[in-house]
Order: sequence, then C-alpha cells, then structure tokens
Amino acid sequence: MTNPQARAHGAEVEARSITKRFGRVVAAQSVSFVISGGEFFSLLGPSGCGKTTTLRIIGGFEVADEGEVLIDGRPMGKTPPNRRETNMVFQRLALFPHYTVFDNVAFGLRMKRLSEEDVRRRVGDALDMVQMPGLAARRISELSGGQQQRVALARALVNRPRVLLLDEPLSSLDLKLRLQMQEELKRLQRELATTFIYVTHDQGEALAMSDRVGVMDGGRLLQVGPPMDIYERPTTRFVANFIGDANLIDGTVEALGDGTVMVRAGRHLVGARRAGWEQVGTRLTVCVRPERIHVGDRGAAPDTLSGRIEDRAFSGHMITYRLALDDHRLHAAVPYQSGTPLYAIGDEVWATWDPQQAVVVANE
Amino acid sequence: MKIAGTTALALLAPAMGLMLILYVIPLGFYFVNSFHLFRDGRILPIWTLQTYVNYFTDAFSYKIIGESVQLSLLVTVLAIMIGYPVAYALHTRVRGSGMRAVVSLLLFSPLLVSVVVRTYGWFILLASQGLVNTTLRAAGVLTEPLSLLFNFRGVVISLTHIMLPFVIFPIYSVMGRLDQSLKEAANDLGAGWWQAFVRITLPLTMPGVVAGALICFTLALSAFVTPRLLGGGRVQVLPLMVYNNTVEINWPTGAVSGLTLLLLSIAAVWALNAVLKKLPSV
Amino acid sequence: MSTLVGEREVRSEAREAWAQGVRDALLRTTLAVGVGFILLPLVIVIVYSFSSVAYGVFPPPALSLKWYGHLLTLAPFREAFARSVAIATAATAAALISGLLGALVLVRARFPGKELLRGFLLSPIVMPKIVLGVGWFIFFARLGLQGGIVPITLAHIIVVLPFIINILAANLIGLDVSLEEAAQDLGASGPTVLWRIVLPQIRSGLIISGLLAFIVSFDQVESSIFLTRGENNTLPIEMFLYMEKWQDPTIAALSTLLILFAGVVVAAALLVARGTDLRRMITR
Repeated sequence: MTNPQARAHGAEVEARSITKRFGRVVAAQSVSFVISGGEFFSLLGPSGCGKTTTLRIIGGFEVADEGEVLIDGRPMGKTPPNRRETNMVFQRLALFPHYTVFDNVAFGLRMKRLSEEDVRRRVGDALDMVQMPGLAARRISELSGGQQQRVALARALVNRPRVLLLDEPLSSLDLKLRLQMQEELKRLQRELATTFIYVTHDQGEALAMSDRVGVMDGGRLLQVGPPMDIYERPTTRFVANFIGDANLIDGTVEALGDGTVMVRAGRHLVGARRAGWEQVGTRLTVCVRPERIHVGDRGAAPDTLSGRIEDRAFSGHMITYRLALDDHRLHAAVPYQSGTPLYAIGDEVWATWDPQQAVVVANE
Repeated sequence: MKIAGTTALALLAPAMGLMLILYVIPLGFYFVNSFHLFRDGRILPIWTLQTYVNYFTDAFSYKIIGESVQLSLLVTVLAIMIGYPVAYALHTRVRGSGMRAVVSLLLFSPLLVSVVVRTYGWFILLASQGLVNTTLRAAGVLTEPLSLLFNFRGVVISLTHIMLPFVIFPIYSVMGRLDQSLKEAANDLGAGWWQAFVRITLPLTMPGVVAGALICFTLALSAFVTPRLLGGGRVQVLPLMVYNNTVEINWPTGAVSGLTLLLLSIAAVWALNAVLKKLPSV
Repeated sequence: MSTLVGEREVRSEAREAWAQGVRDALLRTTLAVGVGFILLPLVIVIVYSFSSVAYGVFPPPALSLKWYGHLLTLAPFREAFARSVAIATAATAAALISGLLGALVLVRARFPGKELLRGFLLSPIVMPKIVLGVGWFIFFARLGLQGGIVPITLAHIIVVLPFIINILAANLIGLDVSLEEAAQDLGASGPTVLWRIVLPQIRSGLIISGLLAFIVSFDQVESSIFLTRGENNTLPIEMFLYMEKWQDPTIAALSTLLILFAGVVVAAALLVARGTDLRRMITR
C-alpha cells in the first residue's frame, strides 16, 4: 500500500493512548494508531468526535493530558508547532489577509531564513504544483474559494513537511470543486509521498481518498482499516451506520453454520457471515447494505423475508425501496435499467441476501 | 417595516427640529461672531476679517495651537503604548466570559464618574506630598519631590489616564475579531512568538489602534477640565483660550479660537480615517 | 537519531517553556498594573476622603469622617446634585424618544443623502464641547433665556442625542424584519408594531444608551459652564468651581459618594437588563 520510497520522505506517525480533556468534556479517549510513512490516512467521524482534537495534538497546537505522539519513533512531548516537521492546512484556511499570495506561501521559508533566491524558486515550484502559476502577486481577497484553498495547500507543502495535517479543508467548497480537489489531493500525495493525515466528517471523501480510515465517535477510535474493510466489515453499530447506508436488524443467534450464522429476529430468520465470537443465544445486530438485498415476487425459501413496499424513490441509476416487515424497516437499493421489474407501493415482495454479504456487530 | 415619505419626515421631525434649533443656530451665532471685532472691551457687530488676521498673525496663537497639538499627540502616543499591552494581556491571558466582563467593567469604570472627580484624584496623587512622590522617594528614585502638579507633565499624566479606556476598547475589540488560526498558522510555519506577533498580530490590529488614536486625539484636543485644574495656568491649550476669551467678552477671538479647534479636530478625523481605509481589515 | 540531537531538542524545549513563562508573567503584571493605574485615582479619592488633614499628604496621618460632615452642611452641593439628576433624566428621556424615531428613519428608510444626514446627526460628538458651550451661551443670551435648568437640559439633549442614535441604529440593524412583517400581516398598525415588536427586541440597546446618556449628561462641564450663574450650577460645575478655590477633602467625600452613586446606577441597569443580550455585549 505504501510507496517503497516513502521512507525517504513521509514520516511514520504514532499516537499512543492519547487522552485530552477540556474541563469535564473528554474530547479524546485513549486514541491509538500507527500511520506508515507516505500513507494517506483519514480520521472520520461526526462533529465533536475528537478527530480535530487528535489532529491538533499531532500538530502541537494542543498538549495531550495522557499518552504521547511519536513521529518517526521520536516522542514529541511539548514541542511547539513551529518546531515539528508537520504542517497544517487549517479549516478556515488562515491565509494572512495582509500578505499577497507570494508572501503567504513564502512565510515558512522566510522563517527558516532561506535566501530570497531560494524562496522565489521554491514558491514558484509550489504554486506550479497546485496549478496556480502567475498568481503570486494577487491579494488573498481577490481569489476565489478554490484558489484560496490551493494557496493554503501550497503554503504548507512548500516547506516539504514530512507530515501534512489537513483539517476538513474542503468543507467550504461546493460539490464540483470538492470532487476536483479530492482528486488533486490524492495525486499530490502520491507524487510527494508525504504522510497525509486528513480529518473529515464526509465518509464519501474519506473512503475515496484514503489508504486507510480511522472512524471516531465520542472521543474514541472505533475502527481502523482500508476503506473497503471499513465498508464491508464494520465492527460496531456506529461504524456500520455512519459509513454508507446500513440495515440493522437486532436479533439472537439461533444456529451457527460453516462460515454462516443464523439469527432469529421475531418472525424472521436471517443469515450473515460468521465473525467467530458469536455463540447460540448471543444477542447481536445483523448489518446488511441496501444494495446487497434482492427484491422479488413472493417466494418461500426459509431465509427470505416477506413484506410490503411502503415507499419507493427513484434516483436515476437506482431505485430505493422501503420495505415494511412486521416491526422492521429495510431499505433495498436496486440498480435500475429499462426492463427491471418495478414494484408499486403496497406490493407484497420477498427480500433476501447472500449471508456472506452481511455482517454481525455486537450490541453495545 | 419600511418607512417612507411623510412617515419618515414625521419620525425625523423631533430629532431634526432639536438639532436645527439647538445646534445649527447656536453654532451659527457662534461663528458669526468670528466676523465681528472686539475693541475697547466691546463687541463691534461689523463684518470684518480683522479678527482672523489678528489671530493668525499673532505668534501667541501659534504657541497655543502648538501646545494643544503637542499635548494631544503626546497623550495619544502614551495611551497607545500603555493601552495596547493591556488590551493584549486582557485578550490573551483572561479566560472565561465572567472574568472578562469583570476586568472590562473595571477598565471602563472611571468613565462612569465625572472627569472632575478623576482630575481631582490626580490632583491628590501628583501633589508634592502625594502618593507618587512619596512612593518614588521611599523607593530611593528621588531625593526631592518631583513637580508634577500645575504643569504640562501633570496634565499629560492625568489626561493619558482619562483617555486609556477609550484606547483600550477599540484595540481589544479588533483583537477579539482576529482569527485565532492565523496565529496558529504562523506558528505552524515556523514563527516563534515574537515573529508571529510582529508579522501577524500587530499589522492586523492596526485598525483598532488607529480608531483608538482617533478618539483619543480629538478628545484630548478639546479637553478643558483637566488642563484647567491641573495646568496651573502654565498649560495653554485652545479650549482654555476659548473659555478665557468668552469670559472676557472677547467673543470674536473666542470664536476664531474655537473654529481653529474644530478644524484641527476635523483634520485629525479626516487624516486618521484615510489611514484606516488603507489598512487591511480583519 | 543521535543523542546529541535529542539533547539539543530538550534544551531548546526548556528554553521555549521558560520564554513562555516570562511572557506570561509580564503580561499578567501588565494587566494588573494597567487595572491598578486605571483605578488608582478613584481609590486615592476614596482614601483621601477619610483623611484628617486638609492638604494633600499620602499616607494620611489619621482617619476622620469630618469632611463628610462638612459636606452635609453645604446646601449648594445637595441642590446641585438634585439639579444634575433632574437635567440628566429629562435630557435622556427626550433624547431617547427623538433618537429612537430618528434611528428608525436612518435604518429603515431609503432616500438620497442618508449618509449625510447620519453624519450630521452624529456630528455633535466630534464638536469640541467648549465650542458648543459658548454657542449655547450666546444663543440663550440672545433669547433672554438664561438661568434655570431648561437651557441646560436642552443643551444636554443635543450632547447625548448622537450617542443614543448610534447605539439604537446599531441595535435596529440586527433585527429580523420578518417579525414585524408577520405582525403587520396579522393586522397590527405601525405604532403597534413599534411598541409591541420592535421596542422589546431592542430593550438592551435602550438601556445601554439611556445609561450612557445619563452618565454623559451628568458629567457635562464645558458645554454647560456658561449657562450656569451660581444659583443653578450642576454638580460637576459646582465641584469644578469649588476645586478652583479650595482643594480640601470635602470634594473627596463628595466624589466618593458619586462613585457609589455610579455603582448603584450601573448595578440597577444590569439587574434590569439581566437575561438580555446586554450581558453578551459586555462579555464579548
């Protein structure tokens, strides 16, 4: 996954049991992870989950109450931001309004006391890299949102940091621009092989760009893994719910098979992939994604669920049905092409899925 | 609720009426006097520019103008030099909205009490056996009491004190609007405290400094009570001249003095506003 | 990752912490000294009012209440106080009404030259008070209306009007117009909307500007000094004239009482404004 030359540039970042309190609020609780050099790592979660706090601790803007941050194996302690090999792209960009684009990007280099010749060269390179050549003399207020974004990026990257921290940098951009910038960030990261630590609440963004994602909620790190793992095999109810859509069915384990577990949920018996920790009688939740559910006319296999179409929504390439089954509601997403059978509201249908496409998560 | 036409006029009438009758006309009377002449203890209601000529060819007039401007400038500079650090300390070292409210109220409190009272306080403090002299002598800094009363020095000190809240609050309010992440970005890019302050905080809080300077300068220029009570007759500033002229029934010269004072104020406001417009806003 | 690098980092980290500590101490001292400096004259006046001697000595040789006793015998001060309160109250009331209506026009009406009108209405703030004072002297003398408290009150209205207009206009700008439109939609007339919808929302602005106007009016010296003739002095003028002749602690006793008075007025205003956005305005 990581670039073999990464060790030449991107640094390894380790968080060891980071805990941070603000008054009585615990913003981060025993957060631990290891990011390899040159990796694109995202911290994903709803607002208030502690991802920004963790990022700021890594950058040196906050000091953890317990635990420590190690960059390339060296503990950072209380080292202030101006002496760490990290650079940050701030959420509100924090571009200096009284400086031109050039002076903004040059700031870090001037702090290092580079010669003006070097400064000019490197600023030019940085602006080229973010595709903003020739705008060096502009004032910040004259730039569009997207352009300001790139300047903020250039200002951080021109210093060749070994770790780039990004705090929801794209949240103020409109959709089209955001998607464009996501691609560019990914490209840049590959080119530079710098370690990127990216904080966002947008799961689509995190899944699209990252090598690995860490999902956080309420100050705790719930699951870390490559995007596909997080999506296909969520380990907690929260992660299942937060990433993509999920149908969650609570029930009790009735039977354990070869790689499959059968769960009793009221009238229905549903199947999921066996995780290994379940036993007969365990209460747990089955999680199945809407696009894994097959919808058809009434059938009679033992693990099909029968119900009625309660609502139907059409979104171009897909039809989403809301099925009512006793006291459960299931969402099924069916790809649409002309010729696909269409069910109407009130129709009686059956729903089924391949048990290997569903997972179980523990009840919390 | 939109207001149009006759409603607007009706609503405006009280304020405008008051202003026209009690502001424009009295000022009109006042400045009309500047075109009269004062001779042999009487005002001659003729139309002439002689009073102006007399005033602006008299070296004494320029001495007074110079002293007024010098006093106001000095007070403004001192007030900013003291006020800026205090505003900065309040902004960065006082946490919690409760504490901030308390300290702000304390800094603001002298304004609730008459300027006569405040001037009187300085009168006591600056006396040859007052607190300032006693403390300095006890600390061994002075062997003899310093003359701080009834002279320029005393007026500068007390006027600076009176102006401080007016300088601290504009600066403090601009600091409050400053984006915190700008300082963090500067730190992130390698700037230590001093660099970040000089390159980021200071330039971006300049609008507050200029706004404070504007208020302070114009207030100091038209200060009357403090120079009168603490100046001992040795501090000759424009408001005092206006007062003296008026009391001596030399209204024409008083009017010209007053006009000069007004023009200086307007010039200061205009100049500082021009500077303000050129500064980058936060 | 040699130990040499580690050592250097540890030392500079310690130096950084020390520098931060020095900065911290300096700033806290500055704030303490600043607040102390600002409060110093008021504190010294209070202390001095209890001094046993008439001349400016610090520390006072002994404490005494005799100046308060002396103060109570001086009828002119009592009368001047009552006069100042009456004038300030009347001027504030008149300025609040006319200022509110004027502010409404400035904020809600649209017409050419509005900025000029605003500049005109706010101009008394920039006008040197001594100039205004002489102007009023001449004006009222011409009208034969010298003496009494009416000329002074009228003058004070003009002095405080710009403060009130400024603050109320700022408050009015922040209002949600759709509340008034809803009221009109439900049948309320203009004055009703003003009384029931607008006024309650700007309550804190009214209180702050009223308080400020009262204090400014109470404090006026140079704008009113030519309108008083000894039998109708306002309190600050009475004090000013007394101070030109005698500097004994009687003035200190009076000042202490005035400081108390100011404290009471502010506390009362804060109580009335409790729960409104007044508190937010102060604490921001």
